[in-house]
Amino acid sequence: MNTPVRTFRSYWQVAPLSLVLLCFLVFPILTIVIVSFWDFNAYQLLPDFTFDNYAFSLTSDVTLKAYLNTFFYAIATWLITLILGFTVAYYLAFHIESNLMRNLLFILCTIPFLTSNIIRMISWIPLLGRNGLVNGLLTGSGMVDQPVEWLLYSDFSVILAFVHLYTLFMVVPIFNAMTRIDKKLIEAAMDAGASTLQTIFLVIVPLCRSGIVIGTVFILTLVMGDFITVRLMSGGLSASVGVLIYNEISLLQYPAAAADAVILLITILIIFSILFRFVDIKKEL
Amino acid sequence: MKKGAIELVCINKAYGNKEAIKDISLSIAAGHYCCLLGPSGCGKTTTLRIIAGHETPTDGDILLDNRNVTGLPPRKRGTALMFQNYALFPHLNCVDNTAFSLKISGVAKATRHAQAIEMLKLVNMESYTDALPDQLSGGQQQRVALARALINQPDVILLDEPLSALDPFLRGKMRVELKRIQQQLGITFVHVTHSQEEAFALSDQVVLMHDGVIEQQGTPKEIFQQPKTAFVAHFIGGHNVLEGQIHQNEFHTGSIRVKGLAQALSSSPRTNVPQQFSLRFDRIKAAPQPDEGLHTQPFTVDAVEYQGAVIQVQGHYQKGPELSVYVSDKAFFAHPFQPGQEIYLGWDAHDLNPLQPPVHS
Repeated sequence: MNTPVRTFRSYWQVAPLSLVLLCFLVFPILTIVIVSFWDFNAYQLLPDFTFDNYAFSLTSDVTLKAYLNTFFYAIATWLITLILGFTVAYYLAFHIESNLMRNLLFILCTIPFLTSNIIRMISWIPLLGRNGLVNGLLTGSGMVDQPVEWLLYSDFSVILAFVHLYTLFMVVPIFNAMTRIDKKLIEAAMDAGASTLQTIFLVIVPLCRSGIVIGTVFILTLVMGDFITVRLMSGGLSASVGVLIYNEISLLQYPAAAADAVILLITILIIFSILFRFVDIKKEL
Repeated sequence: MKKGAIELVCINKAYGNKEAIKDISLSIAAGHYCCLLGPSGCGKTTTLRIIAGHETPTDGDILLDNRNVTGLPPRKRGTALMFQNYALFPHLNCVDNTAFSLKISGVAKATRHAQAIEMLKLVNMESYTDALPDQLSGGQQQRVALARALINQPDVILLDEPLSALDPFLRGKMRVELKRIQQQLGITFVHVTHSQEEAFALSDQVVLMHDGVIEQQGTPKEIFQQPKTAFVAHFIGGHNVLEGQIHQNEFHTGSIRVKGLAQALSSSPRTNVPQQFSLRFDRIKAAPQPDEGLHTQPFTVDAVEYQGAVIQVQGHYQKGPELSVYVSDKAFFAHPFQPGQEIYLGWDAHDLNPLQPPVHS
């Protein structure tokens, strides 16, 4: 009989978070969606309801190239961080016997996060530049005559920076899923005659599927929404969707930028809705 | 000829400085049901895992059908291990769980599924082929685990406390089932348990372990009728252990003297040294009044416990020993006694079973 009162009261518990999300997530996104339908000229925004921004963006070669580039970065980074993350997590979860050692090594993995992203990216420049350490070593030892150009300001350096920045986001969820695997299952697989590789692919991978999917979500969101890494590490030579939006903002073309942002958002949501078909995320958290 | 004879030769296993198993030698005949029995930490599970190939002994050899398998991986031994909590793969349904090892050896899907269903039929689980382990009860999971262990037609099945996760009713049912399957297939079962009841009910051979050594082995009957040490007598239950000395054919323990030992014992006992005997609870007569064949000293009752078919009476003589006695419910309710009351006990010298000093000090 006091159910209505209790239901009403329980709303207070979710009120703070709802308010924060409303103000800082829902409201900005709504604003972006609204602005994406506005018109603009060189120096002002014109409230309107036009599909021009979308029409322009969706038919432009620049957008297509930027998307292809973004997907390339995302998939390459995903693949490399997946292999690295799985290997590191596997080592931590199954090869380290003592809990103390495991925790220490895990903390070691997080050390790169003690400095800012920008510093970490910039620190690659003296290493990979034309006169950098790596090229110095290569030319000095006579392995190459000319400094290697593709080390910096190239797709290579962009993906390298992404991998460096984000591998931990793959390690953590996979490690988390792996620690929940009963060690007896591995013995049971051995008992059935499975080799290490068979055990990994038939038992461990299926059982840490949720960790892999969550890691994938992190990596894809981070890479696809990024603009600073691509700008810095490609030296402005390649463009991702993030860079595209950033450029439009610096030219004060807010409605165009908003339209591109909405398209990017929808793209990512479609990818995730496909991903989440493979795993019941609620069960795993 | 039956297959699956196991021979352990001088097996040692140490973890760091701690010796889990000390120089165990054991042979289990083909087609026998053998229970490794003992309290936790006695080394029984380690022994099982050494037979299975999941632990390497520090020293010693394992022979299966006269083939030295000490260095072989589990699958090459012809054994199959059933894990304590079954270790079913949570992402695979019953058929795929059962057929897992066939998949590993590259058997085609249709064939391995057909064989898996055959095995599930043997354990009465054929109607749950598509269920995931999470959707099954403990007893059902166990049946699937058994089917998975059986599918490779192993010569030896190793079971690690298979019944401990089940409730008592189901445990009794599965016990019968295990025995049925073992006899139907005629293969060797090695079963680790800490329950003497389970071990006695199932085994052809009981191996009682304590602190990394075999304390006694034999048929359940041998072990219950002639426990070898005080530990065995205590562990299997139903036995009093009397400590005392022998003086000229008399056994002195506390205020009690038992006459006529020489006739009762096959070997002549040493005199004037401490000696232990075990005496079964159910071999002691109890009466409210002194009578012929009963000791004249009064026995004070401390506790009376109703156990259904028998009543367990605990009490003590004034100068020892403390004893437990089973009184049949008919006799007890004809003349019930209360704690605090004095009664009279008696037993035959034949029923005293001499115990050896402990295997290790």
